[in-house]
Amino acid sequence: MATTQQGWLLTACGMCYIGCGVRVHVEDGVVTAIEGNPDNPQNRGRMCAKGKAGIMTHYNPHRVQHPLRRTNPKKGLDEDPRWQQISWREAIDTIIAELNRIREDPKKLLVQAWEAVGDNMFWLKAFGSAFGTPHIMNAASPTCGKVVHPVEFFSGGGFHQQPDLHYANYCILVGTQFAISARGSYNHIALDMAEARARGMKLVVIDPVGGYAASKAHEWIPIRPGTDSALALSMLHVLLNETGHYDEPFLKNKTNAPYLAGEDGRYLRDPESKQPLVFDAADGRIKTHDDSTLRDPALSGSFQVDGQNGRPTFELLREHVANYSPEKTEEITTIPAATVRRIAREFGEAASIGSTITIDGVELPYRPACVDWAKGTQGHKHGFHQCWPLKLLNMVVGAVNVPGGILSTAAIGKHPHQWRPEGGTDGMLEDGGHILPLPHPKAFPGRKPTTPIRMDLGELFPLASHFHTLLPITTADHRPYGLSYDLEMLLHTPTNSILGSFGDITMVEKFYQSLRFVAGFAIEINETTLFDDIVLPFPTYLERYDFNTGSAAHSIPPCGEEEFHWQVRQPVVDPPRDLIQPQDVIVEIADRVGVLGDLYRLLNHTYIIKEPYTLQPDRRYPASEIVERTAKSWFGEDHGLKWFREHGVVRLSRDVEESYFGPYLKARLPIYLEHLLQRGGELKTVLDQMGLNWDLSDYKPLSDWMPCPSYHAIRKGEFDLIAVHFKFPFVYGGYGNENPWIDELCENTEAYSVLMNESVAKAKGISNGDTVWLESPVRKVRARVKLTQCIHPEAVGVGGHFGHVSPGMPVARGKGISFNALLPTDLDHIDMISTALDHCVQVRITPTA
Amino acid sequence: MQPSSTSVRVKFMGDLPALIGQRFLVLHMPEGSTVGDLLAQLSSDYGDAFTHRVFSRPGALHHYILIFVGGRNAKELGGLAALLGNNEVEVVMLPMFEGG
Repeated sequence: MATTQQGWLLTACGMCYIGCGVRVHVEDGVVTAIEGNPDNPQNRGRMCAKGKAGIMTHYNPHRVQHPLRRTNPKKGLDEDPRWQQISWREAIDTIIAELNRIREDPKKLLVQAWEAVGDNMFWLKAFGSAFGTPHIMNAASPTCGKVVHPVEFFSGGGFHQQPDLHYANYCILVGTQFAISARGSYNHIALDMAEARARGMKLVVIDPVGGYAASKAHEWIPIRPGTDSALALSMLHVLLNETGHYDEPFLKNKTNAPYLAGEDGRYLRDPESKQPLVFDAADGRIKTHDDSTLRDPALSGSFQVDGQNGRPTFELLREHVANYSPEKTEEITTIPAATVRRIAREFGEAASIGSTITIDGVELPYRPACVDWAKGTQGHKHGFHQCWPLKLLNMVVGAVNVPGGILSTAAIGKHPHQWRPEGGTDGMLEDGGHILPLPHPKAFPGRKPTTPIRMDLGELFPLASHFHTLLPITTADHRPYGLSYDLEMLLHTPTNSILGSFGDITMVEKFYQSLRFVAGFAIEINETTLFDDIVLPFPTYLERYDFNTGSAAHSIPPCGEEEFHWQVRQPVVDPPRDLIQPQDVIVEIADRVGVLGDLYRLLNHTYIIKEPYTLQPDRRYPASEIVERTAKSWFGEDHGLKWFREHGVVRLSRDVEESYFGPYLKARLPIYLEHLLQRGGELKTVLDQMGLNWDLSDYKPLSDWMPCPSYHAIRKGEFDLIAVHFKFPFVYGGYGNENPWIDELCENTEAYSVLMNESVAKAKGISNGDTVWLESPVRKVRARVKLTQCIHPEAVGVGGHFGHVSPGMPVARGKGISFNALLPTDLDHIDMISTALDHCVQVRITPTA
Repeated sequence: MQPSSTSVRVKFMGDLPALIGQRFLVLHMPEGSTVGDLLAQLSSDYGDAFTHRVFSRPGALHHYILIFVGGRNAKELGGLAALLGNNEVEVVMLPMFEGG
């Protein structure tokens, strides 16, 4: 048992979703210190402030240590649940009774599974699938990840993207604080970013907020919120039509740039094979894209095919972006035309198109320039199209999965088993690579829309991967969608979804009130827990067993010439006496509702547990044994828990192909999204049948800038500012707001204040430190103002995820504001491609009386 | 002569019970039927709503569809050509995993 262990013990941090390697000092069963594990290639011995503060989360005096039952049937953010301590038997019996009540109609169960610190996300997902519900929430945020993963899996091949900090000489960050304040494999890439800047990489940060990333940048360019696509389209125009910086061989041979599109925007296809056609300039013939005689696919021209006129999609792109001259987009973005031209030119020149580099004896294309984007650009009404042209900037210069360019994370591996991206429909990249054989999110080729059964209308978002942002809307009124049932039961992880997963808090509160029965795991009584009928205590990361210890190992590891690594998490101290490992709880529930064998079958699949270690349906395994069996299945009989306790981490070198797989990929990448036309047309047919009139203008193959509602709102004059969200490195990734050390950091850095442009504030008679009213269309809150010159004059910056009201979080309660609570939640604020909720909201700020 | 038939118990998981209306079905299939035959039968019985959820294009399963035949992943048994035999078949429509 853990209590018998003393001294420095190896395990994995769990203060966010990344999972750095740590060594924990234990004396007489008490944690006395936490340090980074220098042998772990993820963090190389380093820790962030949040990780160092983990000891205070572990010893939170307000931790939930026993199962609880609410005795107050009234639910609400202001209601006292009047908790009563109960036994595990009563807690589980109650949950089983509720599950059995909906057993014959399992879709009434909602599983909120996001808990990316360890195994429970995959376990609860497997339980939900085994039980038979389609309603499984995989994500915490209403915007983060909504676009980047579905885009990355079909345009790069991996889970996320990452600038190659080893070789890039020019890096543009748009709406992200990559490697400075945020992102997967943070402690690793933070050092890489510092070293890249030290060796001379130019860093340009384009963001409404001049935050941590901007403070490290060579240049911060403030941009009006919600106008990223206008900037990107304008830069594309400069590259393609003014300076001529584009990688012609790459576009011809590795993308769909030469595919011929007809007048209707659809590909011209071979009548027999149905494959898209191209024009081969070498012999003047029309051929399929995969014709073995194809030598020089044309990127321009007009060609007749069976009476139809076809043009290469690249030419359509060039013509399209010509509509976005820097002079025109200056009016949209507020970025001066000369600045757009300069950074586009600098980017194009830095890409060194045509150059190569030799690594380990292999000659590779060398494109040391890239553009990165993430949450900030995704969180918009037209989030997909805000992001896609940013991806195209990398694509047109050939800077995708080659040294110096934008890299796809975790897309390919050869150990401990093999995985890689593969082509499919129309010769395009279709199936990205991932170490776990789970269906990855991807926006190509999508699904045929059908009349919805799902309460989140997933069937009407054929290119999206998850849909939970719709739930507060459909719960309020699901009749327009032909749905005639209600979600009745929620099982959830400790993640605080009420504050973090949705928008308008009033709607979210009603959504949770509509659920007849809620049971969830909890470390502390947060706002989501306030709605629970049954609370199950959850271990801290220092008390847990997990085979999956975070995304830095399986989804967002350091890219490029870096090692593969894997660690497991195991307790360094015993949990409180009345606490059970969550996997054991799930096994108990699954067994009693008759799906244990199915759960095991899905876990064997999810974790690739091979014979003789597979989980057998007639046995019950403790969490520790399942982690051990999985570890041995992956790394060999000698790699059980004891090995990981002694050695901490498996490290395996990666070869050139694993580091830079772009040239090895046997599929084309998209610059033109033809399938959006098809899916849009199919969707319109279904919507017409349902009598719904949705705006489907996002279903287009070439992006346009389309304004968010806030853009129009401030022009009408009812509101005069746009609130945007940004991240702090010490509260990034959730789970830490109740931690007193993190609270101290927030207090001392004024993180609980909202940022306002100094000149704008003074014109309103607002001074630094004033308390003001901050009012969005759906919420009015008091906020303290911090004045700065480092924010766009039209923007208000709200950092972190604060605004707690739960009495179970006395440190965090009443501090800062919840940004999400300000966000209007309706179809007018949902991206019709990705389901991202619009995260730029019109507000007015007025002094309090 | 009529080919002999066999009873195949099909279990649905993930999104599919909500479509099928139940978690189990027993189908009578000709001897020698394959996973592809079974899915064709289900497409016939449940229409486009089933077909569109399961197939990305004719003959190709969506990447989130997982099929077990007698407890073994059908991919290891020949995919759509895998023989059903007397095995229980499990058809799973998994949620896509996500981040953020």
